[in-house]
Amino acid sequence: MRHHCGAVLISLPRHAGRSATRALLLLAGLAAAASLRTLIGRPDPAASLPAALLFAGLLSALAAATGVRPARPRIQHLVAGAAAGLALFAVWATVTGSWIVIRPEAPRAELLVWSVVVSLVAVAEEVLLRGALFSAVAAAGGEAAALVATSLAFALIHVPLYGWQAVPVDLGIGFVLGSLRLLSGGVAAPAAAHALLDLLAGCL
Amino acid sequence: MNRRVALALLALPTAALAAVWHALPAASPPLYDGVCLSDPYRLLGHTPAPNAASHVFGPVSDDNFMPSELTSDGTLMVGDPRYENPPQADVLLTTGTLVSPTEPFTLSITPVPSPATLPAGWTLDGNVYRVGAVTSSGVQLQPQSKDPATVLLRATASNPPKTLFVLYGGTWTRLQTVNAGCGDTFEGVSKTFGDFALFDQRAGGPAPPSGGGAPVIPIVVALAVVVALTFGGLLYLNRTPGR
Repeated sequence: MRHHCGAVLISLPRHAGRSATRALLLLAGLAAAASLRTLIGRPDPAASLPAALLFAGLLSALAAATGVRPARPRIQHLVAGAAAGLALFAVWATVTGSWIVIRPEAPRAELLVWSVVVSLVAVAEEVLLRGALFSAVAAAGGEAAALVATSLAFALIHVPLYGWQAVPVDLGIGFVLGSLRLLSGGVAAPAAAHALLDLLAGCL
Repeated sequence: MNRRVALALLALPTAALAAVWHALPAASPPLYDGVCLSDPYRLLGHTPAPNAASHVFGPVSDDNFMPSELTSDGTLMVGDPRYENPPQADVLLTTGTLVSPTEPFTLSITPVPSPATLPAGWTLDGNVYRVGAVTSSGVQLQPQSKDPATVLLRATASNPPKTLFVLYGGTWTRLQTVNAGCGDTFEGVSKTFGDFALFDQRAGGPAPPSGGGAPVIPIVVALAVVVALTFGGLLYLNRTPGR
């Protein structure tokens, strides 16, 4: 039976061993892609647009190789994801105090390019993590294992860019995005939340 | 999975995140992700020069001061060639950080030449910034110990990770330093004002030029091969029927 990533699940064989192999391959590819992003973006990989684009392209290719065919996102999932992203941002703003200074950081054209790249990277990460990898791990070891594995992977791929202090924050974010995946059954909601959070965080 | 369980899974990490965010320094980001936009670093003595900024505050007791942020950009806006993107220095004050009940005071951020003495075993990265607050009658103010200031400095590059130090009373003090979100911005909490700077533990001398040091090209090729093999393996798994 063939499922769709955006609506239910991706195409998965019944055999858990194949799913586990697929999950391991995806993790290996993810680790290699994150390392490539770090090396190619030197000396400041978090600020390299070409490295980010390469990373997004590699993740999309890996996800596509598993047979992921994202279904057309449903409006309600996108809205729910955006609402979750806004809610998380509001919690952050409340907890951390009155430090939010929304101000223009760059000329408009540069901001437009940045917004597109940031959104592409966020969506690519979600298609691979909460799409292909989540489905593979879920088929091999259940949804709880998928939630843990994808959240850990999300946190660890950011360590080369930001250091180990990124782990607790991104682990929590990963669990929230994974829960959105569980609730909605697809990647549209976590992708919307992820992209919105990245855009809001970048505008601070 | 049951929706109630999933909703609980949504609420639990949100609560945990709130605790983590609360524990992190003031300017920590909501998540460590995305892509940072930044202009080239401005070194003191070069063109364009790094910015300085100051702001005058009215008299404040320890409970009527609003949380404030002063960046090295001051009030500069996009389009001004002096505009730094992002600001290279930033100081955050919360309620109670500074107390001057009767006099106004000026908070300032100024890039200054590197002091003659630097922390032993550490290499300076970027500019040294003097952060200070002085009342109209010339009294130097220091942060209250219960409400210290948060200082953010941008480094010339994110790698290797940097450590924030403050020079006060002739002594460099190492501050607990975390990445502030964009890869090259670091922050720490300080109970004193003084001269702030980022350092790394390179064994003397400036950073190697980009591309130097580790053999990057063979590693990049090896990683590309891993990605290609992984891609091929996934395709193979996808196209061969399961047992």
